[in-house]
Amino acid sequence: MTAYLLRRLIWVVLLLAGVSLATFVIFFQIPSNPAELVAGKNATPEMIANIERRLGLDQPWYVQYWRFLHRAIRGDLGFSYITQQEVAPILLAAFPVTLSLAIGAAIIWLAIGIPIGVLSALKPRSLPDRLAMIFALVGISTPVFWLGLVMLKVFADTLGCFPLGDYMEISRGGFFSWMHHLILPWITLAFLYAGWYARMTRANMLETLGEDYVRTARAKGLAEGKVVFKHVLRNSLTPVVTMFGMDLGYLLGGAVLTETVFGLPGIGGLAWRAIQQRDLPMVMGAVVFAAVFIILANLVVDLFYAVLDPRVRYR
Amino acid sequence: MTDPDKHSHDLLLPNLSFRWHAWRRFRRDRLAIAGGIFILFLMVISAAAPLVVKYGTRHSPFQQHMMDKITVGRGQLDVVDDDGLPMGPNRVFLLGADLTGRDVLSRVIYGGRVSLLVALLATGVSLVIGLIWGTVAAYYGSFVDAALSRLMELMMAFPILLLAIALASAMQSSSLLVVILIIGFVNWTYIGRIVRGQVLSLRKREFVEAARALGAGDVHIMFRVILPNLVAPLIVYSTLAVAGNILFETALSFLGLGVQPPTPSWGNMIREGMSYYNVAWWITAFPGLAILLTVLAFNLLGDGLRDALDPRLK
Amino acid sequence: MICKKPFMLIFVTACLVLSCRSGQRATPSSADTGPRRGGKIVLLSQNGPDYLDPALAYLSTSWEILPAVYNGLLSYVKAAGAEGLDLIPDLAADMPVVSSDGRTYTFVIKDDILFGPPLSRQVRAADFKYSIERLFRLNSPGVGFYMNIRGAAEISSGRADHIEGIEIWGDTLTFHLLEPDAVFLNKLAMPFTYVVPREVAEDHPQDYSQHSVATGPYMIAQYVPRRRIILVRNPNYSGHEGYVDTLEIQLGANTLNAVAKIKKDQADLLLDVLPPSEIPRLKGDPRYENQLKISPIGSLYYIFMNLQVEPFDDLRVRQAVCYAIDKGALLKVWSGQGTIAHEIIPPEFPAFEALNLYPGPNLEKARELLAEAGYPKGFKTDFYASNLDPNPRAAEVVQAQLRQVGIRTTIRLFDSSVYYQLLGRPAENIPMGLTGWYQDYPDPSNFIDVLFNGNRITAVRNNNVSHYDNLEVNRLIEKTLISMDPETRKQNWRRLDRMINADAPIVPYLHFTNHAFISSRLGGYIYHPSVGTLLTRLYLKERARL
Repeated sequence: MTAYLLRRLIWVVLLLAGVSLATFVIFFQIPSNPAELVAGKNATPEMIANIERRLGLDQPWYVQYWRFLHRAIRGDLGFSYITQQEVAPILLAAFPVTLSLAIGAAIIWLAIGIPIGVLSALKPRSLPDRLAMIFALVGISTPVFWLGLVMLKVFADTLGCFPLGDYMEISRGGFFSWMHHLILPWITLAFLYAGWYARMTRANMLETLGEDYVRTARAKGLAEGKVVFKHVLRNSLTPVVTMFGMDLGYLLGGAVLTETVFGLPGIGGLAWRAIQQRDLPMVMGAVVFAAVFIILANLVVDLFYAVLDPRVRYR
Repeated sequence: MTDPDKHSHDLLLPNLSFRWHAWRRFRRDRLAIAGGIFILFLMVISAAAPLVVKYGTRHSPFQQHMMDKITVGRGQLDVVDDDGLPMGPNRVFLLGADLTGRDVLSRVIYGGRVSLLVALLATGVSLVIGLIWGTVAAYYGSFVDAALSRLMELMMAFPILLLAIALASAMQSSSLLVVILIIGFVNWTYIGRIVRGQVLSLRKREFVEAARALGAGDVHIMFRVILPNLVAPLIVYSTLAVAGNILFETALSFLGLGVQPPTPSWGNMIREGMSYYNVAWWITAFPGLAILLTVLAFNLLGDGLRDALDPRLK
Repeated sequence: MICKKPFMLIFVTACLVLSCRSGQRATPSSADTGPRRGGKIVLLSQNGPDYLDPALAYLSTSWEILPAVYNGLLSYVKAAGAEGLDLIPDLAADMPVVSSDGRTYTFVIKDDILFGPPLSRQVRAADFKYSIERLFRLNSPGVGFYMNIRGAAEISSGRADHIEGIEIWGDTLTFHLLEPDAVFLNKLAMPFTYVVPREVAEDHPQDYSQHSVATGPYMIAQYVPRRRIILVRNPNYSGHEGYVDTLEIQLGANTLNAVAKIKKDQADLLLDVLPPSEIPRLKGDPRYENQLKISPIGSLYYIFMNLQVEPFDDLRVRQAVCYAIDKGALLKVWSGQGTIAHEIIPPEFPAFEALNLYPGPNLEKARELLAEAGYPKGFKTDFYASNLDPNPRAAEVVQAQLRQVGIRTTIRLFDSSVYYQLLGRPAENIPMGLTGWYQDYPDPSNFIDVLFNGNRITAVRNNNVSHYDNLEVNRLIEKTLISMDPETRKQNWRRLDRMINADAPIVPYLHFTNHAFISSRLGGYIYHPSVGTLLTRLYLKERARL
């Protein structure tokens, strides 16, 4: 087990290095001189050369990448070219926003998606099942940024129930204000995911319901409710949990579209601004930050499987 | 449904009676038929877009009416008023005008053309990469499979939309071809995994062993013996992938990195109208609705095809 | 309907719990009985200031906040329109004595000014010298304005520690210039030279914005980037500016929410540009008639053509473009925020003179000129713009207009931070595109000299994006810059405006006007053409007793 964990962790580090290297190489293709951005409107060529030296921009790309890695290991992601603030604290400050968005949305989509999937599977091809599946299909077919705009137009602009986007910290506006600002983004994001989860839960349930041991349990005369909750649900939710881990991992790295539409100052919006502004240190920071969550989510899911299912051997 | 290996056995019998049964099952799925018909309709409209615009909407999707007035009912009205607000849906502009006074309906029609084209071709790109990767990985197994799997893990460790955004920004031009290649490239892992799973379960089967015994080379076995058996699942997953790629293209265009104006695409129409969503809702509402319906149609068709080709899941 | 229930349930509860505030809450009317001291006002800004350090700040939002906290030697008269363009002494006891050759300026510093707590010491002449030298040490974006001071080049290149041309004798401060400069005093009224105490600045080289100590009516009680700035009264301030006790600037809220909040009097003013989609709504609503304030601002939006790139080296081609553009359509793209421009100098400057050398749009004339130039069927070119709304739309409108005379353009959009950097590099050979200029100081030289002087074309950060280089124009600009006679200067700038327009290196199309939406309780709103909103003049109106 320890050896397995160790191997996995080494692989995590290698993956991170790979992701950062690829990002760095992609970004080096963009012809833009950050020194000019830093220098401002009335800079002289001398000033720009000075800044280039200070930022290490006069070095070849691999030297710059090596320096980045060297610093990143100590948690130092450098300074943004645009705001000249340290990257790591900016990311950490943006993280609660993304976290709030992801967790809230996750609670809603689980609370909606899974019950729909379960109830649908129990009465396949009934009218409620069909309606539920169409609802789920509409959910996965809706462009999330457009749904966001529709929500804003209807509930925030026309009805005036909610703010027109923006984030409110709990520490500043209190719990209710925080929630009030996040309900529309939560619902928007959850609508999409609830569709996926309902479909997946239903499919897994149907499959498990067809398994031999379920038939045996029923034949033994076990109450239907007991069959469903004790045997079927537990087994058919395992893949859903896996999926949930991965989805959450992705979302914690920033929901670019949702954050953009609702003007939430989270990781996704930060990354998107940084890419537009050619702010390499910020881009590197945000991409690595997002990749950490994706990779960790994978790791956790794998370990979860290993613990849950003794048949999985530690390769 | 999540694990493509699961239903492989049922998809491997491309004989006549299987096809007939599949078609019978598909025919009964009214939603899937509706999806298919909608897609056909969309393709016809897209192919005939210049004619539809000329004789149907009677507005060019590119013609701006910034300074023009039109007669609606009793009055002469500005298409775009002095504060920059365009007119909403009326008898002349059925779905309203956009911020530069262009006909939204004509642009939705032309935008569909672009969005469909990009999504279909990008799916083709993913299919080619995914096929080669999946087949090679699964067929050779051991070291090759391990190496290729690591490569895919690296690919999947990227936040995918950010990767696409970064690639699109790094490319100096945003031509249609670049957009197609980027979307195809960042989405190949989905099809790659499916192909790998299918091939893994196929390569030990009798007919493959037989071909090998007859002295067929690796390339021949991979692409002549195994590949034909993958057609059914690939049709299903490609249909679903098209739905995903339409969403992806519109997202990229929405962020300003996909199809460039003045060429309309559903995504960039929403982008252009976004700053006015609260006062000129028609500019964003209709392209969004078009995306929703189209993606829904592809999903319905994909679901129907899967159910027809794989009766176990029904 | 199993699916809809939980969905609706959550939704309905949410709406109930958080109480829908649909529509407008009626606001008690406030009577304006003149300036009143006390209270707190709330200002909003999406992105906020770039810095609160006067040496580094270079955004208009920052420049609106800084004068409430800092002072310089001189300031503008606190009034709107042309009246506000005159300079008055601020921390200087009087206007400076200028030598007859126009190269030496001598100030006497007021002797009763204290820095705010916790420093609380007297401001000395040496502080001003330090503050200007600090610009060069920090590579401030403002150093270009002060290169004319003797010794500036040496400190800039690192060959000197101090600026030799700034001398201190007790409480007198003397500037020695290399060349006479009629707008030197305007440059000393820019926030870059606001006085900063050395000991505090040196203690906080990285984050002076967070620890600033200064002389203004307010001091920064709290600055949390991207969240809020709170300004409270500076107890050491002895002047008369500043009505309210507290100014809270909330950062990060988007502009649409800002407007919604101001409608409800939950906030008083948006420091950013109003969202264009709100303008038709606010204009069309009689309730807000008195709350929408339109003020001129010295600015010019224009289409540039690069004379170094074919075929824009041909005057007839450039003139054809001038004739082809329909400026009315572009004004609509900017939601009607401004006046159509045919000239370079903004209308609120005394040197302004209305021109219209290319009345149009006149497509016939444009086609004729193109044919004469050898392009009867037009040509292909790239058209550059920033991606900041509504620039992309303006680019599309120009594209469609040029298409009518056969000029086929490919639009290339860039994020604004990247875009202006690209424009500043002559090597990029950008053929044409959209750009604009906001004054740094209210004098025509800031437009005509900065944007059209051929001697000012530089390898990076070039502002003469048309690469316009007319010897006669250059000579007249240089002559006007060193002329100290206001009337001659005025006449010369007028002549230059006409001369440059005749060469058509740009198509001017818009003088932007600032549209601001203020709360019903806010009084004393003044939009200064150079500084922007004068925060120290804002006050809360008396609540009408019901």
